[in-house]
Amino acid sequence: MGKRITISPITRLEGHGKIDIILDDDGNVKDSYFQVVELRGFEKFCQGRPVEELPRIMPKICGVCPGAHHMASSKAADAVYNITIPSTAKKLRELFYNAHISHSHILHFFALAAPDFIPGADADPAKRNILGLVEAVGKDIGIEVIKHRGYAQKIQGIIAGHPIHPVGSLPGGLSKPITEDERAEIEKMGESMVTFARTALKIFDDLVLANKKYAELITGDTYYHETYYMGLVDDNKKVNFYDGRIRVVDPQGKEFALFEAKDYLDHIGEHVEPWSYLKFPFLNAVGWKGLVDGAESGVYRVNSLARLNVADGMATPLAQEAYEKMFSLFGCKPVHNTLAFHWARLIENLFASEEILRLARDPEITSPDVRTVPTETPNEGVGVVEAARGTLYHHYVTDSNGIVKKVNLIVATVQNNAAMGMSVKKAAQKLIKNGAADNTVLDMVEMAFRAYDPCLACATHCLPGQIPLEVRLIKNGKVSRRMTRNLNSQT
Amino acid sequence: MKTQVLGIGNSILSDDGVGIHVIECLKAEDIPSGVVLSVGGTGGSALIDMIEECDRLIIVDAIVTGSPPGTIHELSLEDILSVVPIHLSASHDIDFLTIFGLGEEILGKRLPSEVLIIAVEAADITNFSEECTPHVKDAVNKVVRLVKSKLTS
Repeated sequence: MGKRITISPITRLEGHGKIDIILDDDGNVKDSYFQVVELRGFEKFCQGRPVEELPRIMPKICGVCPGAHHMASSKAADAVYNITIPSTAKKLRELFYNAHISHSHILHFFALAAPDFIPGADADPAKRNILGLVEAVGKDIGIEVIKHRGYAQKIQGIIAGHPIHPVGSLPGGLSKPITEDERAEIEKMGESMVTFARTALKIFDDLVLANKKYAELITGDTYYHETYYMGLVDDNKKVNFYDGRIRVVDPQGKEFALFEAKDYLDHIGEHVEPWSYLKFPFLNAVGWKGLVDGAESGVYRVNSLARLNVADGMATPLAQEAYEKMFSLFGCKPVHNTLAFHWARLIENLFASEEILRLARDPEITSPDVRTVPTETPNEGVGVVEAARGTLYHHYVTDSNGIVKKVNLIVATVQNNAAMGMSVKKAAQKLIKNGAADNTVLDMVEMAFRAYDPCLACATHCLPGQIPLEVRLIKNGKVSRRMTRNLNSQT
Repeated sequence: MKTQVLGIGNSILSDDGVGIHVIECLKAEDIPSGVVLSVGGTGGSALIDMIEECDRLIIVDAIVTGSPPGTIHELSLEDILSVVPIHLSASHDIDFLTIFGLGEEILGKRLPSEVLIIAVEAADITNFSEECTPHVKDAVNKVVRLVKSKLTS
């Protein structure tokens, strides 16, 4: 019987997760399991409620991406009533939503991802957070991060009525328009956000890409899987977070599928494993072949890099420039390097910022025409958006009075479930040799799934208390070594 | 002295929402002037926006420590180095201690000089419900009285 290494709970990750790494008799990695606990009863909680309540309830599934659920739910409710919303309502939702994406990406990069590089995985755990980052890059950057995170949150609050619990979007559009003063304020914040998004990319250039060790880590084989990719694209097949069709490309970058949200069940199957509460979505047309990559496996990836991989480009000039630079450095498309999700996130933050500015300057944005009142008999609808973490589907069935009978959600993190498990296993196999697993190595294993920005709160919930990292080496059923650490102590 | 009472949690996730329920109850009570009652979200960096410039901040949250459900814990900032209520830790975000660690220079606002955390031991934070479990429900009124006594002390 081999050893088992357990990393539990997962640090800097929303939700309660655990990684088991199984070692063989020689101490090398035989297998790994990425597991999470589950929240229960959400579908039942929604049943029997009027469908127009769901855009207000759904954001409470998750403290991390309420904006994504607010939008996906609103779009599904629009579809239930077969409504086309007014042009201004669509633009305001997009404005709100780009602010949501920017907020999420700024936080993920500076609070979670960047500390893996600055100060780095081998730094004191107490410094491997935004405080250590600020110490390394200076307080001015810290001020800018907090300021622009705040701007992104404020824009969401202006449009949707509350910065944390959005309520403004409802079937048919929005509950209120924005005023000229609010528009002007958003425009001013948008200008600053574009500048900051360019600064963030420069920080990535200077401190990550220019560092030979990190550049090799990003472009090397430890964090690399050739898979399919999925994401929303607009009519020009450019990245779009709010609307469009879902495009899938194969591991060579060739278009594999292009479909409307309502047809998602034709394309996505869900595999179940007895050891995991989370399902494993896969491409029906390829089939489930297990936790393996390649063109013969139906495993696909979503999130930032996937969106850039499936699209023909970005719809804004500065983001397009940054997009071309990334693919040029790798010299291929799609890019299969998992750590490039971080880079793609910063490119998307620039795109979102440019979109905020463009929409704030749209002459129609202050129009009072923001809602089409539903008149058709409700029945069934699917809404899709690109959550910061990837494609998010909401599917509702109601009775003729609009009372919810059935709810089905496919959240982004679940779609990356198989890929995360594969990435952790591969990183562990590369880094853990002969049973040797110090904290640096385990941090580097964690980097494999951190790149996916997983948010388990949709399927799980927040951790109780301070989040320790527990590592257990188990041989023949007995704990032979135990390591714990959290931000404040190390044993 | 200006005091803010901030309830945090998820009001549709059983005991997780106890902080929110306490604030809703306090809103129906006779509260001294200069006290701000706020319904926060599920923590993280959102707290930067939720915390107002005040002298004293009282946070009400849920906690899981293994104590009997409904147990009321009074904690200081120092205490939460070892025991953190649910929404003051943030695995996906900037947590509460980190927010304070960033300091006024970075946050651009004055932080309260006194912080008190009242955390209620939760029994169920994994089932969706708008109601708390019985012991935690009983604790809501006790916390309301406790907060009121702090406000008048």
